Order: sequence, then structure tokens, then C-alpha cells
Amino acid sequence: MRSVRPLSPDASDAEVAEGIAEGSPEALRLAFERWGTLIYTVAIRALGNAHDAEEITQQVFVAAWSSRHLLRPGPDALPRWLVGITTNRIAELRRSRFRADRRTVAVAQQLDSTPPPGIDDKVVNKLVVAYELERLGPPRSDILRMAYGNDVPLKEIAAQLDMPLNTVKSHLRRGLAELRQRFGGDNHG
Amino acid sequence: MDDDQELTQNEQEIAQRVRALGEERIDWMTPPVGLWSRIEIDLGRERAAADDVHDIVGDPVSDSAGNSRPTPSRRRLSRRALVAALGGGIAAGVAIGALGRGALDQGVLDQGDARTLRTAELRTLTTDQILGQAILRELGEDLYLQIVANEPIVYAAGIVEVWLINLDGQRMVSLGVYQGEESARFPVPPVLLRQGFILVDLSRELLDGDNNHSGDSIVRGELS
Repeated sequence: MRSVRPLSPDASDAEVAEGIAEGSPEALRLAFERWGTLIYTVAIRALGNAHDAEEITQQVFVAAWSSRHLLRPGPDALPRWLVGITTNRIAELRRSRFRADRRTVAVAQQLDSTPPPGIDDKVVNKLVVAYELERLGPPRSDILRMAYGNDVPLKEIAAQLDMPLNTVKSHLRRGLAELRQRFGGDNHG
Repeated sequence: MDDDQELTQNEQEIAQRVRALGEERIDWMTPPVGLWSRIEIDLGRERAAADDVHDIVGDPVSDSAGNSRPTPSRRRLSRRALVAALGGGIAAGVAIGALGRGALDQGVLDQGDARTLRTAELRTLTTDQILGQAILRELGEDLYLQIVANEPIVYAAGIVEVWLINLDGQRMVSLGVYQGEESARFPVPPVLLRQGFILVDLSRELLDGDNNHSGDSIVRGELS
């Protein structure tokens, strides 16, 4: 069996995923440092309070560790896997809360029998995209945001950032390629 | 944007997703200090349970760095160790399964949404034949053990009882009576798992008023 390589903070996402699959707690810690904020933010937005979000975040990383043998390492394995666990946990928490609420309502009242709305996948996907964009860091994150978020023409970006146009174009393409790697080329959201 | 015409199809897909973000800047919330410590504590409990198993089995499945990788098919408890433990003073197993079962089966559970946490192959003790599986599932707050039989698991002279035996080989708790169904569900209190009661055992029991484990196990498997 291969020995677990010690991970540096610069380890690639694929290496972190591999580390977790191989049973390295250090890799899980790195994953927490990289994506803990994403998971926590998704949870807070979905559940509306910090206590629940903390609970969910804790559960997600413990569950990720328990089922690490199910993780197939790859450059796009995390955060997709973590976010998948997160949305499952959030949905279950909401369902159990919903059931608990229903039990306390008087029978005489008209009950709305539809379950609470699930997590909006589009919103979650947007958060993942925004998060990975941030992780690219400047200047790529800025360039991509300016080009697509604010529709600034490339020539103007070049001028604002005091960069040659070709450099801006190169950053743009590299940035898109990096993001593509992280999303695995999925087409939803 | 004219510049887009230079992009490949793949690049355009990603560009589209970035564009969908609009101008909104997300307010990222960082987890509170101390959350990781809480996670580590939970991980520690899990690894302690795993270490106990390695002690009992004697041949840890691990790499040279001492990190273990779960391989359910190889991790089996030493039969000699367990038989010795069960042969001695067997702790009384209190039947708790009957109480909770009705609540779970009131149509609230939708097995399709249940998460699988652990599984175990149920193997006969002498011939190592697989008669079925035990699957630990979670649905919301409900934790239950699903017994799935591939071959009949029955006992004509009495009943078949489902146990969770502790890794210490001494303590065990009964989850209830298995009636030979293709699939049966037994509620499990989470405390049992946290305390290391992860050996699933199905035994032949006479209706003689003795609640202890008879020592006559049909199949056994460790949840991993």
C-alpha cells in the first residue's frame, strides 16, 4: 500500500482529495481550511442561523471522513463531494424540523401538507462558482469578474490593471481552464 | 461581448457560469474558531473505534504511515476471541427493538432518501458463507439497521434475535427479533455506535425466558 505523502499547504485540490481517500487526517484539515467557509456559508444561507450552520458543517466533515472510501479522487472531486453531503444534510435537517413542527400543530388546523422547499440547487451552484472564482485569487479572479460580471471590455481591463492585452487574455483563458477543472465541466446551474 | 468569439465551447460554458453571478459579491461567512476542534474530537472517537478493531484482529490494514484505509471485506473479528468472550459470563441483553419498531414503520420512512452509513456482510461462523447484509442507514434523525437476507435465516425451534455486540466481546444489546423477512429494519440508538457496539450478530434463541445470548450465532458481521 502506498504511504501517505505529507501534504504542503500548496497541495493541489486533487492531492487533497487523494489524501483524504488515503486516510490522512491532515488532508481533511486542509480541505476544511479550503472549503470550510463555502460549506458554512451555504449552510447559513439555507438554514438562516449560525447554530444550525455550525452543526451542519461539523457533520459534513465528519461524514466526509467516514465515507472517504467512497471518494473518487480527482481535480473536481472536492468541493463537489463536500457540497453534495452538505445539501443532503441540510435537506434532512429541514425535513426533520418540518416533521417536528407538524407534530406540534393542533389537528384541527388546516395543515399544508407540502414539504418545505428543498435547497435551491441553482443557488448552491452559484455559490460554488463564486467561491472557486475567489480562490483563483488576483489577478485572475479580478479579470474574470470584470470581464463577465461587469462586462468590461478586455482592452479596458488591460488599461485599468496596467497589463498588456495579451496578458489579460492569457489570464482569462487560464482562469477559465482552471475553473473548468474544478467544476468537471458540468453543465447545470 | 466580441472577445467571447475567441473562446472555445468549453471556455464559453464556464464564462457563462461566471456571467450568471452578475455583480453580486458574496458575503462569505467563516466557521467560528473551535469548529475544527469539534470535528477533530469526533474524528478521534471514530479512529479510536477503528484502533480497537485492529487490536482485536491483530493485523491492521494500514500503510506504512500508520493510516488505515477501510476495507470492509478484510476486517473481521477473530472468531476464537469472540467465542471465548461469549462463552464466559454473557451480559444480559435487553430486548429493546420491539418498542421503537412501530414508529419507524408508519410509512414515514422513504428508504430511497436514507443514507447508508455502514455495511456488514453477514457470514456464518464455521463455513464463512454469506447469508445476507446488515446496512446501517440514516434518515433525518432516525438511525436504523436494515437486515437483508439472501438466504433464509431461520430457526424452527425458537426465534432469531438480532444483536449488536461491542468490540470488547463482552457487552451486547438486542435489537429485536428477526422474522425471516427479505428486508427488516431495527431502530438503533446512536449511543450504541459511539460506544463501539458495531458487531452485528444473529442468533438462535429458544423461548425459555433467558434473555442472554445463547452463544449459538448463525451469522455475524462487523459494520464498517
